[in-house]
Amino acid sequence: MGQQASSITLEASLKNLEMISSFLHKWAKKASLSTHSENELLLAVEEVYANIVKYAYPESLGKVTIHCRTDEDSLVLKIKDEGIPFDPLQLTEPHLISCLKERKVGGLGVFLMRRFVDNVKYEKQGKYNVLTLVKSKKKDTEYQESESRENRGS
Amino acid sequence: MRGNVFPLKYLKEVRLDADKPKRRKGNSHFLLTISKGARKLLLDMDSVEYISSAGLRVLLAVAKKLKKEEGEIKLCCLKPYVKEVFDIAGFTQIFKVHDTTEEAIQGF
Repeated sequence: MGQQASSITLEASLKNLEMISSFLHKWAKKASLSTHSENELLLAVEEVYANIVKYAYPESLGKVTIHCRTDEDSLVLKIKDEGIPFDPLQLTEPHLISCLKERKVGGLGVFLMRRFVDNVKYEKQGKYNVLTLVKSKKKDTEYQESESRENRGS
Repeated sequence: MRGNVFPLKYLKEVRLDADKPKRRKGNSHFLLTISKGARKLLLDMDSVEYISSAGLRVLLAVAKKLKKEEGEIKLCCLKPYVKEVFDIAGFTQIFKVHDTTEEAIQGF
């Protein structure tokens, strides 16, 4: 059995997105996630991280810790910061207006994040905001199996 | 330039949202193309494997800018993951998305 949990702590800056991407890639590989699911997971984490960078630390450069572990059915990520408390689950869903003129730029991040993981939980733990994201491995296997069935059929 | 359509192809390594002005009054690659007079932009997404809301924001801003100038942006060759993001975000209703470059050019 390999290492089943690890974490990285970074300064909350968009410059570190690349490091997050490598960290997640390592875990996605370990969990045998498809590239498709890995992209969905990366999007979810990126959206959370980008919000922390933009809003959590208005006065100084704060820290973000991303903790990852696998269990039998899923990858579990905890994203922790000690900035301004913010529960993304309280945000109302954006209006997906199809008229270009009226469509607002932005507001999609949290909405997409919620769609791309299987479970999201926000907790305030002392001074920390902790957001837990769960990505199912089982669903991915089903997706890959149905894709290969489709390919065989065509 | 093919006809009066400006095809732009994005490379895998480039993030759409990295296409930001270097100086305050500078133009991004897209905005520069528009300011040079392009009104029909075709964005070939064949090499784009990943997109997040940051990239969507850039595309929407470009589409709005072009609309003001009475131009249009079209996209083609979306990878399944990118297509999924577009569908969920409702972008397939805002943007004209085509399967191939030729189809997109013909539609302009």
